[in-house]
Amino acid sequence: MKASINWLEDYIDLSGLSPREVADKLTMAGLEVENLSDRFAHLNQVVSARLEKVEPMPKSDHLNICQVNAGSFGHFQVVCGAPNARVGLVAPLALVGVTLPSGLTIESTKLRGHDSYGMLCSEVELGLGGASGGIIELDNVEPGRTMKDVTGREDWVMEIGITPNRPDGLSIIGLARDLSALLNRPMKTVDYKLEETGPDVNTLGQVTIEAPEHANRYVARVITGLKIGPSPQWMVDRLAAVGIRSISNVVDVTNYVMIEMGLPLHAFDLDTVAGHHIIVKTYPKGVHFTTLDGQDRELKADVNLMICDGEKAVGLAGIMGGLNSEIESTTTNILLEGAYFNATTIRKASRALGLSTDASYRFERGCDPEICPRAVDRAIALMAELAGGSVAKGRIDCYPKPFKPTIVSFSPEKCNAYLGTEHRPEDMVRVLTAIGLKVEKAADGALSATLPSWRPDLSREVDVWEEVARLLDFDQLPATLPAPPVKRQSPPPAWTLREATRAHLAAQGFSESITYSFINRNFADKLGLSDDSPIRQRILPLLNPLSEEQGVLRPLLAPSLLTALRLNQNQGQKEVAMFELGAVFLSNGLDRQPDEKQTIGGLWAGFTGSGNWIEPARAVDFWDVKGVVESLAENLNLNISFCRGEELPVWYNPAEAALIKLEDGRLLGHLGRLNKKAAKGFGLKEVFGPVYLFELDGQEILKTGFSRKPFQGWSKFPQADRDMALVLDKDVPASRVIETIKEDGAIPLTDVLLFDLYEGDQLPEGKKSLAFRLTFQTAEKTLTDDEVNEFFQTITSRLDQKLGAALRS
Amino acid sequence: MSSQQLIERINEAEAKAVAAFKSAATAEQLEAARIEYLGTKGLFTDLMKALGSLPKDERPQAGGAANKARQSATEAHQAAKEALESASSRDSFLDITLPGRRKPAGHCHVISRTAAEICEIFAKLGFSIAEGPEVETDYYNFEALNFPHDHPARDMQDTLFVSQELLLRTHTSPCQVRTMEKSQPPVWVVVPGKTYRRDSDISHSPMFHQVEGLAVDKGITFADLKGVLTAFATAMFSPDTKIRLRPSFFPFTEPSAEVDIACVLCHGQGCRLCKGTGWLEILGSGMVDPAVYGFVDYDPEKFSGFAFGMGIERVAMLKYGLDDIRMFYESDLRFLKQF
Repeated sequence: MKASINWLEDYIDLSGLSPREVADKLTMAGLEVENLSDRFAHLNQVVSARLEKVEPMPKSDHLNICQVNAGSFGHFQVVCGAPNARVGLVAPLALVGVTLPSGLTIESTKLRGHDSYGMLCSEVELGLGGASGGIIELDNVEPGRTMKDVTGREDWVMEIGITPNRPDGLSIIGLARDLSALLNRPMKTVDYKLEETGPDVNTLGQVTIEAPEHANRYVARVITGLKIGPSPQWMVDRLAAVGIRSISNVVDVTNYVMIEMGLPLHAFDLDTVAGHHIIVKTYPKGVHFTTLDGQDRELKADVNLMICDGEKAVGLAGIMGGLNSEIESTTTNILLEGAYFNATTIRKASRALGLSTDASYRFERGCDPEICPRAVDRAIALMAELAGGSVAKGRIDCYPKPFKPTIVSFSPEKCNAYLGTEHRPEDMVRVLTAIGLKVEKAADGALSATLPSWRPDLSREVDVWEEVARLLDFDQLPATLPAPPVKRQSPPPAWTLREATRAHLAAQGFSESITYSFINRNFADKLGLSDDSPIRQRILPLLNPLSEEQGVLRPLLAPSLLTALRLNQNQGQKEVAMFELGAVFLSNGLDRQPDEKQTIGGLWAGFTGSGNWIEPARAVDFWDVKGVVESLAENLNLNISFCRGEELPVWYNPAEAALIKLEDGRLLGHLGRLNKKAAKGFGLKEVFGPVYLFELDGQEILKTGFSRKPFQGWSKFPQADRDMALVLDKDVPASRVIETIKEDGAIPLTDVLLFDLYEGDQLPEGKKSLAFRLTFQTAEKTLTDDEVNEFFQTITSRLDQKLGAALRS
Repeated sequence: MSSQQLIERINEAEAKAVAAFKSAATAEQLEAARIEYLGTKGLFTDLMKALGSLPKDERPQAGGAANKARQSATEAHQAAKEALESASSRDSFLDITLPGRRKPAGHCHVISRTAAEICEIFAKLGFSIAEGPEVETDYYNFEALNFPHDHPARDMQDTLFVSQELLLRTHTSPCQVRTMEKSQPPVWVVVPGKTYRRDSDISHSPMFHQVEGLAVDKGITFADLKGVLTAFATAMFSPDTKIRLRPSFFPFTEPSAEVDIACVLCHGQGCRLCKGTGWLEILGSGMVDPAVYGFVDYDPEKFSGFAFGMGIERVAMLKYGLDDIRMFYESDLRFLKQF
């Protein structure tokens, strides 16, 4: 909402306050002034200048090259096409750099090869009036004065962000009312004369409301014999200040009163209204109607409230009039509508049509039904003043269910207790009265407040308390600390899991990334998911995404990490170690919330090691990534194992990938090397080295529960180490060997370290050698050599029996 | 020899010895010089012996001079010896200016860091952490927060929908309702999390993060809200940070207030960052509207409370001087590694 200080002053005395102070008052009352500017600020950069030389430009029939003297601002050469440019004339010169009301910014230019430093201006160009005949002739003005100084023009305009609860703020009188309370100054009234010289209005027109649940009031007046024409300058100026272009005297008046009083009005050409009968009724979906902007529109809401005459629709109620009843230059008789339409009805229709107007914007927030007669009177009087004609006697007023104000009790003590303030009851009553509440004392001394018709947001006592807070030094509110509850809750396990994982992975050299939860649906193709893959089946798309890039909710973190990797490869990053913690989404259909799985995703790609003199860089490998997953699991106190299996996602290279399982066999996740096809799909470059990924299902971790390991003491007795080199078949996995070594629970084995793996010429075909260091220790005593040898013996014979592993000689 | 002459010779010997030690280029030369001057048959021994030939009363003076000279020659020898030794071991010195082996450091995202910092401050004030789903129902995101269907208030938050009834939560406020449904007051929670709106430019991201706060108990006042937020702002930014409450509108609070902090750049003088106002908006807040209590069966006659919600990006941008919200989500390591 734009409002000018100048207009506000019709309704409230603002003397002694700067525009900034007025703006600050409104802002601190919840009517946030987002911008404050003087509509004539440009006149500071327009100066009076005397034309000292005027020469016709060669090969031009109307352009002159003028040498002008702008006093202390300097001498300039300006090209000018005005017919009245002549030597000796003093005219306004817009200096280079100024932006004129039309939006034109003056620059130094060359016109047909001739330099021009500025522009000599007409009234229209300076926003000073309607005369565009030529440049302004400044009689008796010496060169070198600013036009601001010469004209004294000033018009401060505020742009106010009105919150949706405050439809009253969308009018000059509404703003003035708040200022009245804030400044403790009375509202002023605007006097106007309304002479009813015509016949009884009921002889000229008729109104019927057929849909009272959607249109609760319809006030109409009729004026005959007026003359459509341009508006006077004061009207053009006032509308221009609030961003409305002048159209004609009659249309301007409807806009003027809308801004002033907040009620959208509509003027119909009475002669196009069949039977001079206005009927307000609803239309079904699908009907077509041409609005006065010439657009043919199909009605799309369930309920379309229409203004009709005896034969046809003539307007979309509360949104826009029809082309068929538009005011033309030949119009002489007018029926003026001031109505109250149901806010929800108008909102639904406006949204269904995709058509929002100044009128619909106000109606859908809730207009004041009680202001209809006043607004219509004010407008018809202005029309008569500006366009002549004769106003019919009386108004038509259909008002099926007159407004009944709500009365609430109001306790100043409770109000102060709620706010934590110590306002005096008389101050509360004063500001409430100023904004139109009627505060009354009952016989028992209790107060009640009658709520005004223009404040649909007020309906309860707490709403009144807010008005007190808002209007009585909101900024002076004391600051106190309440006593917190004695008992606290621990953070949700998902939060704790993320905290623990984040700390661990960051300590491992991984950087955390956060990316959008929505991704391009084509990730599934890029990864190579089959058409019937369960992931693809459960993709959850957005109904109204901003773009295809952000079209679906991600069911995996891998696509986000790979997209991030690509960006970093483009930046030339040789090593990328990144992780993301967040929810992934798996659809449960459109009527149930999806599964939101907390997920841990990681990526390690390229070459690790700084590559400096002592630390050569090398390609990241499987063991790097596996080590990270192992240490994370250990940190979270999870027992995990790695295996191959059917469930391995297709984007991995199966030679270098594994499933990760929990102790009880549940699948925790997977890790491995990205295959070439997927790497290509994501636009990754091979020269940047291999790409490894891991993805763990946080939900499974949360189900299992994770914790720090409990404290364990240690033995006072020394430990004994024994090395063991085994020769066995190549296809026996190391994990089975280790399991077998550990199998006998009676042996006090505290550590098994695989310190060497050998495959080669020294061994028979199909064999490999694994070398282990076994550590033995008990809490009870020092182990003797004999005892350790016996343990060793037991283990080696079991390895021999079960795996055919022989000690390497 | 008179004592005077002897003292002169002693001083002479000292000067010569010091010079010889200093000029010795090798350990052998130094050792030869040591024997010559300080050895058992060296010059100083001779001079000491010569003291005996002086009259008794002149001996102390000359003796003192001799001891002093010998002492200083011994020190000169020691210094020369150390210098030679260190020179000989220089080959095994490390070039300590060579760069070291470094374990690469990982980095927590600035949003996680800031969220944790915010939650930490509120935890100290008595709030516990709660979380809720990101894909929400219309009921929790709007209806139970007193946003009626077909109300212009819904326009304040441009929504990304999954279906008619499911949407990406536009704020972390749905968790207020979810928390209150589960427990009776006192309820003191902060809710960090991702939120979504259909909006994208230099200062708006379709995904962003909020921390919601809610405190409901007996006798909680609007002034308490200001107190808690003042405590937060001073802890988060600096102890002299001023805050300002400005009336506003949210359907689920009454009264509602926008909260500004004095501009972190110009401290209220007015600059480009604060658009000349001296203030920066950081959060929305208010007293929980009794209509919300209606949805969770709390008695508004018995309990009152406040709620607030702030954008984590906004706080982080102010704290670290960032000016483009999109940087948070690009995962550019040049950005991630700075926090």
